[in-house]
This record gives sequence, C-alpha cells and structure tokens, in this order.
Amino acid sequence: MKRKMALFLALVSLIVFPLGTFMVTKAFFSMTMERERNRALSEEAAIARAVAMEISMKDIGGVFSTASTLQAKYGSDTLKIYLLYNNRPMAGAVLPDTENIDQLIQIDGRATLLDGENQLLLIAHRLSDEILLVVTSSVQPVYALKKDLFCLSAIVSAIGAFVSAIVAVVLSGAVLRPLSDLTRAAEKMALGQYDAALPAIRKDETGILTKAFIHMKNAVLKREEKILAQSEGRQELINALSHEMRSPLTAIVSGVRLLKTASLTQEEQGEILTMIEMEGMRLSKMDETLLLLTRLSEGEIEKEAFSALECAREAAGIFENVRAEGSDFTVLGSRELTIILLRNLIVNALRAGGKNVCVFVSKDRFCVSDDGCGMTEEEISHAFEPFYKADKARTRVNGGAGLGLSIVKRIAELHKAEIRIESEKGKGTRVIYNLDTSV
Amino acid sequence: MAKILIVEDDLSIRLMIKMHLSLVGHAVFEAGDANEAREILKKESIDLALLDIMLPGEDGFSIGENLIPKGMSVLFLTARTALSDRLRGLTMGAEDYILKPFEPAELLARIENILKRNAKEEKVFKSGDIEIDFQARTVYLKGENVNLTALEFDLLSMLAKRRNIAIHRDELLNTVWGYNYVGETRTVDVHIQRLRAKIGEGYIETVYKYGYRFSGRQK
Repeated sequence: MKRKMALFLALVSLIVFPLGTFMVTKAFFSMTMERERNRALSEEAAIARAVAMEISMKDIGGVFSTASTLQAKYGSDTLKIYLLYNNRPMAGAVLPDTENIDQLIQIDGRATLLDGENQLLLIAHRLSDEILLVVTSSVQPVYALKKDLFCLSAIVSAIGAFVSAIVAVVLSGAVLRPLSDLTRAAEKMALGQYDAALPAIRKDETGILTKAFIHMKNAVLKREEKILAQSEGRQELINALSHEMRSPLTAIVSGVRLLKTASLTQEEQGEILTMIEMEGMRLSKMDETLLLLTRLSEGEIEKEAFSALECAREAAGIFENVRAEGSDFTVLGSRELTIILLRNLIVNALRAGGKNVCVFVSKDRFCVSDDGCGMTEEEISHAFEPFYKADKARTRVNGGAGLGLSIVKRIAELHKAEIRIESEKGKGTRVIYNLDTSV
Repeated sequence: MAKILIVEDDLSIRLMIKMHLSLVGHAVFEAGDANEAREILKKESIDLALLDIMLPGEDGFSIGENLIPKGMSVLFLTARTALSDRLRGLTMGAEDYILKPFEPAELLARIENILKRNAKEEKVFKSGDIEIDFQARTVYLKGENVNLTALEFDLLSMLAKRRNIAIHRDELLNTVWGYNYVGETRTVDVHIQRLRAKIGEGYIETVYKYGYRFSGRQK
C-alpha cells in the first residue's frame, strides 16, 4: 500500500508540477513579452514622432542624413532603428535580419511582429508612401528567462516528485502502522491471546479505531469470562449431581445383588424392595431437578394472571401442618414456577425443625416463615450460593445437591422479583418473596 | 455373634449394611444420629461401632472421640476421600476407615478382621442339626462328630462365616486354596460334593453360575 501511494503521489506530482510550472512560465513569458512590446511601442512612438518631424522639415537628402544619426540618437544595443525609402534601407544600414521583411513592407499603418527565431520584436510604421520606419527590439532576455524558468521548473518538479514520494511514504506509514498493529492484535485475539501491544491512541481516526478496538476486546473478554463461569458452574453441577447419584445407585445395585444371591426372609426381601423403590424415586427427582434447571437457564417464562393465595394453598397442600393465609392479590407470572419456589422454601422451613411453618400472602409478596433453628448472618450471606448447605449433612430435596435456594433465586430473577432472608439463630426464619420491587 | 452399632443417616445405605451384617449373623443396632446412638449405647453392650462421618448435628468424628477412649472398636464410613479426614480417623484410634461406595464383601472382611483382633469373632455356629466350632475345627451333626479334611473344613468354615450370602467360586478357590493355586474351580465343586455327602444336602446351596451359599441362622 505504501509503495503504491508513494508511486502514485510521485507520478501525480511529476505530471502536476511540470504542467503547473509550464503554464506559469508560459503566462509569465506572455506577460513579459507584452510588457516589452508596449515598451517598444512607446519608444517607437517617440522615435516615430521625432522622425516624422524631421521628415516634414527636411528634404529627401536631409532625411537620409537623419537616417544615419537615428541609431546613434535613439537606438541602443538592443533597440535598432531602420528607415526604408521605397522599401530599401537608407544610409547603408543593413536591413533587419529577418525574413518577415516582405510582410512588413506591405504594411500601411503600424504593426508589430515577433520574430521568434531571431528573438526580435519588430515594429513597422509607415510614415509616408515612401518612408517606412522599422524598429527592432531584442527580446533575447525574455527568451533567456523563459529557458531559465523551464530549467528551474524541471528541477522543482523533480524535487517536488521526490518530496511527495517521501511524504507519501511517511504519511502512509503513520496512518498504516496503527492499522497493521491493530490487524496483528486482531489476529492474536482470534487465537485467544489478548496481550498484543496496541498503538498509542492519537487524536485522529486511527485513534478512534484503536479505542473502538479496545472496547471490543474488553467486551469479548468479559463475555468469555461470563461463559467460562457459566460453563464452570454447569460442570460443578454435573459433578455434584453425579456424586449425589452414586449413593442411591450403589444401594440399588447392592440390594438387587442381595435379592439375587442371598437367602432372605420374606420380610427382608420386602425391606430391600421398598428401599430400591425409594432410591429410584430419588434418582427420578434428581432428573427432574436437572430438567428444571435447564428450563430456568433459558430466560423466558410464560406469564399468566393467577391468585396468590390459591397458589400458596396449593403449594402448602402437599405438606402436613403448613398453613397458607393472608390477603389475596393477583400475580402476573408462572404459576408452576411459583409453586416450585414456595415448595422449596417450605421444605427448607420444615427441615429447620420448628413446629409452625406458614406461607403468608400480602400485597405483592409471599412470606414463608418458620420457628426452627434459624440462621447466622454468615449462613444467610452464603445461603443462595449453589450447593451451599448450612447443615453439613446431606439434604434430601432436589436430589440433595443443595440447589433449592439457587432454584428459588433463579425463579425470582425470571419474575424480576426480590427474594430476601430474615433470620435469627435459635428463633426462626422468614423468607420474603417480593414481587413489587418499586417499593 | 457380635453386637454392631451402625450410625448412618442415609436409610438405604444403612439398610444394606444392616442386611449384610445380619445375614452373616451379627446383631445389628441402628441409629440415624448421635442422640439415637447414645440411647442405644446406654442399653446395649456394643462390640463394634460403624460410624458415618457426615451426620446431621454432631458428626461421626465427634462420636468417635467419645467412644474410642472408652475402648470401643470404631470403623469409620464416609464418602469424604480427603487424606486429612482419613488421617484424623486413624490417628484418633479408629480400627479402620472405609470409603463409600464400598463392596459389602470388603466391609464384612474388615469387620471380621477387627473382631478377630479383639477376640470377639464368632467362635461357634449352631443351627438346626449342625454345630461348627471354628476354633477347635470340629463339626458336629446331630451330636456326632463329622470327619472333615483340612481343606473341607476351611471351605465349610468360610461358607458358614459368611452365611446366607453367595460367595463366588473364584473367591472360594483363592481364599481356601490360595492365590498361587494352579488349578481350576472344578476342584471347588468336587469338594462341595464331598462336604454335602458328609453333612447333608440342606446346608450348602448352589447359586447358579455364581458359586455357593451356606444357609442357616444362628440360634
């Protein structure tokens, strides 16, 4: 790219400069020539007046003598004066050294002619039928100047082209280096390396591009982190559930082996079969949890309007001694997920050990309370962490992975609601699910 | 046999352990947490305590710390594989430490070892017409002495000690004849035939494609 630009600019300047200087020179030449012409003309006019006067006063002999003194009187090295009588030079003067004489002889009044070959400006002035005044002015300096100017312009063009090429290379380098730096950085980023050096931010378009690039890099890094975290979270979940599954599976296999190879009483067989069924159900529940978690991670819920109090009653209904009461309100959300949320909270409440578990419904909120063992501040702060179990022993709900509150939290997020724990160790706990977050 | 206490909150695992232990003749007492365990310990004279470490409330280590100084044999069960946990259990003075999930046969073998170490292992098996004295190496059928070769006795002894649970032919071969024995399991079948000829058909059952099982409950 740089080379092309340099070549291009050099070429352009090689065309533009000569052309420009050529036109300038030409114009200058014309102007100067014009000036010379006017000067010569006015000089000629003066000479013509003088000669005319002399002619009017003298006879032909006198005019001839005048002719020989004319040069000395009015002429100079560059200004030559000729007087022609009947188209022949007077007083032995040599005719102007020009081929245009014939043209000049024809003239009636006054005319000027430029003899480029001899570098002469000729003015012919017919003073009378017989007498023709011819004044020649050497314009050699003008031509010399023209030649000099052309030389100068050639040099200027060459220099101009050279400088343009250099400037082109430097400028394009300046512009393109950030671009090639960014390109390299982008290629590295594609390979997962984020440490490429970025060009310093300048106050121009490349600076804007660099800033945008940095912005993009940070966004990509952040998203990658988020995805990694999510993936780690999923891996942890898989590990935990696998761990939890091992126990039931071991018991089932062990039980089946005994049934096959041990001599058991009827009662013993019955015990084993009951156990196998129970563990099978537990595994099934774990599977449900996995599916639920997959659903919850999707982010959209189907909303419907339903009664909060009825929902609370249904949630509590499968448990013994769990009350659901309060003043009703309409919820806009997923009824099924709300029941799951409430049941998770109820199970936690029951496990806390107290006697009274209640789901209380009031304006825009559900409150699940118990008078069980309560939680310390430390436990509350960790409560919603996945797999956190305040009680170190295994928990049985949701396959025992300690995910109940993670599910609750996720359902709350999907409803754009708030979930909060208030608890006092030894006294009891209240978990508040608040659907109106503007309060 | 021995009186064994299981302290384990997972009902299914507890059931499986209890079943295996009682099939081979131990008296099993169950507890789901430290409190229930204490109730049982007050009433019964326990020979061996199987303690799960992760329990609700007080954990297995805590229970062990109380029992071991009093001379109780303790075997820890747990899913926690960390070296620090295993060391803690063993340096506390526990007899052994077994990781879940485990093969029941392994648990039974370890328990047998512990009981032997403490001289609490089963000395005599009596059921129906048969009486086996493991120490004296005698067998009485309906009061009459039965003459068995050393190999036959070892075979019968192994089956009777792990009674009611099937034992694989290979295991019988490796344990009774030794791991370096260059022979086929056919010899196991032959010896079983001979045993049956001497003590009767009713005690040793064939478990199809697997091995053999001694049936009988200690009276």
